[in-house]
Amino acid sequence: MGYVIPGLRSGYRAGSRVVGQACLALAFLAGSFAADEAENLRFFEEKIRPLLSENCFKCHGPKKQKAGLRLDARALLLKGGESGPAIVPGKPGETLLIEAVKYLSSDLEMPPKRKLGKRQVEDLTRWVAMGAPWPGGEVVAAGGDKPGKDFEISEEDRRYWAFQPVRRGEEKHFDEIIEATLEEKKLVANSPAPREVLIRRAYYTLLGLPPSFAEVQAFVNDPDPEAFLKLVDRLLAMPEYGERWGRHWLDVVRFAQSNGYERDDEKPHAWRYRDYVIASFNRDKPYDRFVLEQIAGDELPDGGDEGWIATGFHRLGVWDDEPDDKRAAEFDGQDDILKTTTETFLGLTVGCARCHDHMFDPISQRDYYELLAFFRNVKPYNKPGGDTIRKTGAGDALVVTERGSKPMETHLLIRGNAGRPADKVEPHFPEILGGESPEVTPTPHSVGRRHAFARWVAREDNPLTARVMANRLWHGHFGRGIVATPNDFGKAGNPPTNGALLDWLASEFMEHGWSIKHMHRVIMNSRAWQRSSVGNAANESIDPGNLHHWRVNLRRLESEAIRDSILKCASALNPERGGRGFFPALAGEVVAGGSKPGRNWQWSTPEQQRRRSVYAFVKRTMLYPFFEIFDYANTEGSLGVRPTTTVAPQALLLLNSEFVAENAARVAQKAMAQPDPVSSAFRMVLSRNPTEEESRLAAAFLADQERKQELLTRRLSFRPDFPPALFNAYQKSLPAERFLRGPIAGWEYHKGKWTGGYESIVNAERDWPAFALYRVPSRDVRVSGRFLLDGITEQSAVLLRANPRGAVFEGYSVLLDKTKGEIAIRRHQGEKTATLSRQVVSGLGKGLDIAITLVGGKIVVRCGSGEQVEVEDPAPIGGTGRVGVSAWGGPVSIDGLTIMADGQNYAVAEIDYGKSRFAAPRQTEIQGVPQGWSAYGGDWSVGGNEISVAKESGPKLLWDAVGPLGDGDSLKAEVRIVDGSIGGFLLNVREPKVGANNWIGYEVSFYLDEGKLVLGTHQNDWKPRAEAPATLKRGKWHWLEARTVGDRVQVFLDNRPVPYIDHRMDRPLEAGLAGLRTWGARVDYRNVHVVRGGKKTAWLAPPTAGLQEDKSLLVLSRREVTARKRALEEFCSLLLNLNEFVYID
Amino acid sequence: MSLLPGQIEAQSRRNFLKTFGTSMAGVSLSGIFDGSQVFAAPASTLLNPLAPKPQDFPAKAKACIYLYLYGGPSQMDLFDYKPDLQKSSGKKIKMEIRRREMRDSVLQGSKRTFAQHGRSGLWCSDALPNIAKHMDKLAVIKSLYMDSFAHGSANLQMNCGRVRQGHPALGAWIAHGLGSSNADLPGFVVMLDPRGGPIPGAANWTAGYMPAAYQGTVLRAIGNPVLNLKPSANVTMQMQGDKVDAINALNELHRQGRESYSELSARIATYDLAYQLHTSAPEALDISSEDEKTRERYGLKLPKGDHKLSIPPAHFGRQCLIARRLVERGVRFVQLYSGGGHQQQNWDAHNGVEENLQIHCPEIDQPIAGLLEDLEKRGLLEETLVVWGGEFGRQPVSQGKNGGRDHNPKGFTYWLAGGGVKAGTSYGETDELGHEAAVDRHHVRDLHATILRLMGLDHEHLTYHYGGLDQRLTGVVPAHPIRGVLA
Repeated sequence: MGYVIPGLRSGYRAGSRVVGQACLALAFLAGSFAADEAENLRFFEEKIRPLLSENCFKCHGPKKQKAGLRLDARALLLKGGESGPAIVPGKPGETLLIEAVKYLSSDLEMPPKRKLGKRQVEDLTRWVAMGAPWPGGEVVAAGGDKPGKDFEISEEDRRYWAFQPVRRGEEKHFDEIIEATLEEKKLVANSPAPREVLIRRAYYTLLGLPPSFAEVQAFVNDPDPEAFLKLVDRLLAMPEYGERWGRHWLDVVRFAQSNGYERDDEKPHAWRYRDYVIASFNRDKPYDRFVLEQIAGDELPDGGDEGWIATGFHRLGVWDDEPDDKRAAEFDGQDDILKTTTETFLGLTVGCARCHDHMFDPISQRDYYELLAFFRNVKPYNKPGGDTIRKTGAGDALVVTERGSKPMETHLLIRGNAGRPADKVEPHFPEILGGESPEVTPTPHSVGRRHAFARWVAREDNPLTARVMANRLWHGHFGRGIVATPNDFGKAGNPPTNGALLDWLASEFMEHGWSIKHMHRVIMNSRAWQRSSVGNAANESIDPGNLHHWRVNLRRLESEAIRDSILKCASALNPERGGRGFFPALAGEVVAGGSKPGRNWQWSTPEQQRRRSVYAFVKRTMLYPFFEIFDYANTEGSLGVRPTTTVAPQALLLLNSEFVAENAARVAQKAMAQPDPVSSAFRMVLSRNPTEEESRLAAAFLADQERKQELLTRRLSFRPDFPPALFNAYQKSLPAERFLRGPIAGWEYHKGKWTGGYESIVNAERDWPAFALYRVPSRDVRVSGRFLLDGITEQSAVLLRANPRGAVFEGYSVLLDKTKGEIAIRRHQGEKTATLSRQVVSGLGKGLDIAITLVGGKIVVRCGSGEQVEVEDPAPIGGTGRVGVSAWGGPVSIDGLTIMADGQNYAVAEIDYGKSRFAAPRQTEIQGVPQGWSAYGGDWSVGGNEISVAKESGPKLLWDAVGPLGDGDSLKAEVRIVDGSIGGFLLNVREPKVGANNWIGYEVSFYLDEGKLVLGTHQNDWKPRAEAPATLKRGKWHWLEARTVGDRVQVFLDNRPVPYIDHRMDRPLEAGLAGLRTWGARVDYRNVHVVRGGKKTAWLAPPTAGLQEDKSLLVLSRREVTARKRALEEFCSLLLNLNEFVYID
Repeated sequence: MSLLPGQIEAQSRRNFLKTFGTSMAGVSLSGIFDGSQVFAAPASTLLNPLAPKPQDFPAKAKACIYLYLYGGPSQMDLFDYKPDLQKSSGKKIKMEIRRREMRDSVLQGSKRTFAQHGRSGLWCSDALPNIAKHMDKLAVIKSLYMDSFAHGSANLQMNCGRVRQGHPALGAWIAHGLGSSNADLPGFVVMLDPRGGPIPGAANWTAGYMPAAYQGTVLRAIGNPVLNLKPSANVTMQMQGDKVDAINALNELHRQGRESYSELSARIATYDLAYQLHTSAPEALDISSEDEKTRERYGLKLPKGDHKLSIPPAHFGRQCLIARRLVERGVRFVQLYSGGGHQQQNWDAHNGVEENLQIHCPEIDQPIAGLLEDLEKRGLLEETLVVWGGEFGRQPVSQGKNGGRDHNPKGFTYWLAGGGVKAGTSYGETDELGHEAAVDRHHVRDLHATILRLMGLDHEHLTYHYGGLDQRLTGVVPAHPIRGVLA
């Protein structure tokens, strides 16, 4: 305790003057010290004894001695309890009793229910100051002693079911056990589910994905009576199996890839543990081995790299990088490990005994610390890049490390308080589970205690291990464990619904080499698992919860299974496995919740965003809403059962999210090509044909929607989607079209102006919001349409003659300001904005017809409501024509946007979805390719003088216009690697096709991560030929030049006079086209040119973007098709919303 | 076709079902759509996590508006007047600045002028001249302490009761304890400062180990108020309604033979409820129907403060006004964050307390005064609990060159107003310097117990079983409502 003045406790040591003042307040205490003894004793009898008796003796008296403390004799007060002596006579400032009654310390407040009165506290303080007078001769036998000593295990505890050895009955198959119970309870088992139900159930159970229509048909029509057996075997052999069941395991081990708390930084390489888990399930690693590896893989003689990677298990917990109390934080970290380990493998909530003996189970506080001793030497998790990272053959991994092979002492901590160590303890198994001492063999890097613990857990005679895992497997198949609380087999958990069944499974598990796949086969080939899910009123009255398995319960799919199914139905699932994972696209309002919005989040390519959910990056403080809304795992601690809630935001998500819309569009796109789109959509989404009734309803819906969509085909919507503040790095990494969501084809997007830069956070400037531009063929234009500003939209603008200058533009804008109820004509030049004219108008909130004319310097705005604004700019802005739109606060929709240019009227409408970036990249559909170039794969875009490409595998962009390069001609450009590592040039290219290796030619590429420049050849393969070290900086422009001279390929970096690579080819390749190439990287190129006989050929002129086929303004000739397609998209989205899609039978 | 797109909206809802529903045999939607619950749905607890539940005690407060001053406002510059500190300003002292870390420091008095206000004579500085007019409505608790010197864990403890991550927030506990009285809106709403959220983000309004239904819904005062509230494609509300109807019809076909699964009915119901949210959420957030005087009262027309980091009071004002509208519509718990991002962007005054007050006080002063006034005028203050405070307070000693103040969890101020609160009360004291709670000290768990009590909940009965324990907001250490501020 620090400096204490009664009634005024301070953590500071004040200057004399302040202390002096403080003491004055307590002058009443002075003089008491001189009072005589009789007086003192009277004070005790009158004030103190009744006070102690009324308030303290109930818990600290002859009957009870909480915390080992008894207060009914002076000697006992002096002796004290767990926390030390209760009083220091004469020194109230050092007296624990006074601290407690004053509620000075948050973990020691007495009496706990109600604080003593101010007067009573003063009396006690005074009494201690007197020297704690007490009438002589009162000697009472000592009460409680050390914590843990009072703890007793009763006979009842010992007889508790979970601590009994696993005993297998006579039954050959568990079906017999279940059916005996059914008979006993007078329940009638459901008949087997039809095959089309069974296959769906099996796919979801094992893979978390639906079967295709063809797969269902093949299975339903398979004449083989063993067809289901074969199916299960086939599914178990698929890599998707491990992704499904690995994810179940990740729930239990509180998997996440970030630390949580303030910075919530990434836990580097944590994903390797996730990949290890998936691989372990796929390889059917015996569970006892799986246990050993995770707890002590580093200590196993044959652990190897995999053993090390498995110990990432200990590193997954929440970690506070700026703890208030470092000492406590260290034990919090160890508690996380112990708690997770015991709940995961033993189904015991040992964590409850950290501060006191377990309330329900026979686990003492001593047991807790004796168990903790097994893990005490584990080094606390530390900053990324610390010694928790280990190089393995597979790459860096996050692993456990210990503080050498000499054990640290472990002490029992009073009330779990790190500042109050008590008895030293040794590693020991819990009393109730035999209480043996382990045999420990240290390893060179560790004390070997975890290994001893792991061996004990994985022993066949451990009554919990096999039961707990068998129960988890049952839970995974039936949606409910035999013990409904898989993490808690203690008394606070649920008892097993059928103990014999659990034991049968546990022993079957062990007898078959702890094979999880064996258990899947046994369970799925049972009658119990194959029953139908239909209701039965009689059964329901006896066993409404179906605890006895008379049917198989209908189950809601998990968030991952729902998302993955949507992707699979749309044939869009990217099967890429493993690695760090991808970042799902987050809406602006989700990003806004971070203290540095977007920090530690990234933008993944559209391809990456179509991977399975198990590979989504798990950031503790920013969970992907799709997951969260559908009850994703709590990442903070071990989770045995996910809750299944039913709330409206789930419906909103499936109805309205962009993810569902995109994939519904994919399904519709495919269905359109089929003779019967409705049936085709049913087959894709639900793997079955529609019933007659469903077809009828679908037809009616489509006809109705089509009629209504017809009216909307000429509606364009723009919706801003960004928080007003963003972390700089995230703001830079987000593609411009994420800021203002709008039509894709034909429009170019700009982020608008972001300023501030305080603490790396930039703010969106209200006067320069994100905007979209559309190219028109003349400077003078007339723009008309009906503008609908949404209820939450504050302003929108029509941009005219807008020439982009980086994030902003020069030109004119017509601002529709709903907050002010006015229209303003503005002029923008050199980042300066001037309002030329403004006019109050009505009806901005309702939808207003507007026509804007710009001729020379004259702008006229006419509104449907009759108002007119016009202005003549004496110094008109020049430049080519671009018309644009911006919005602030909410969306703006424009119906019937028409642009008159060059004397012709053009209706602007959204191009068919199929031509958007959602489609698989094909040559004709590539966006933003500069004129005179062809792309082979990839998502290329052009802006200003730059060509950029998104991260993808091996896209190529070839320069047709300049033709094959001759001997001595150079390709030269500035290259900047933004994200990823590999990108550069191609020379002498022939026979190009989409695909990584489908071409012939030279490649010259930077390998930024490896710090080198590589020259190689492709002849439908890849052979590196020469390399040179090259120090490159991410995000920096580097000059690259390459040419062929005879049999030599010469490469220059940053205009160095000395050739960087000058390589002679044995067999030089024939001349061919030059171009650009990247590999899994976002790379920008600028100043691309060819040097031919000393003359430069510029890369393009003018720099424009747009679909190749969209060279003129869009004239939409496919309106009927679009309306029908939109209706079909809505219908497909509807199918993805159905209960049948979200629940499995 | 000559119909304009806008005219589609004019057609009545459920046209589709009227036209086509009759052709479907056996489809009966009556009984599913009682149309009163969006965030909840009938049936068991998990299916209906937000069904209204009875209070433990009769209590006046039906809703709580928690004004969270993220970063930790400086108590000795706002409400906790310390004449001795003023006198000792400039004196050297050794003080615990971080856990068990004593540093040589210099006392720094407040540059604000303090005065007593109203009949109660409660102290308030001139930094908040408008709130000062309402001191008679407040119960100011000056003797709170908590356990962490760091923002991350301190925010967690203030919001979720623990310095460790993973526990449900106060609003989630209240949603769990009381349910929602208007299921068209979420029970627990959070609105953030435009400069960013508090650290560590969503953990501050999480449902932790409880079902996600209890977690705070972040509502945006501008932009799309609720995630996924609007269709991403070109779909009118009427078309959306048709789609919902068609989904219901197909779901109803699927439900046949599966009637015993109540979750199917519940899920079917959520679709109609989601549809209603399309209109109810924007309506609650649409302040255009508020009269000019009300808008002025909340400071919506006031100019932005001089400092480059400050934002106009309209931001917080709009949120305060929306908070009132939400409370009127039955939302239980609304938490508004003032301050976002880092340091001077919020109340974290390391780099100058005067500058910090200059940035932030004008952002909240009129909006909060307006809120108190408006609630009272409408008779809502009686049934609304208003809570004001941050994650901790600040030190009486100076930090840095610009007269900053460091974090101080050992003594800080909160105030309560409204239903069940003993108005015009000053409760508890810090020591002479304003450093550490000294008289009638209360840990924040007591504040939590107080808030629960004022909302009619007993903090000892409000439990959720997880990890082998009946978890409580206030944890295992006994907590006590602060009786001195209860009416």
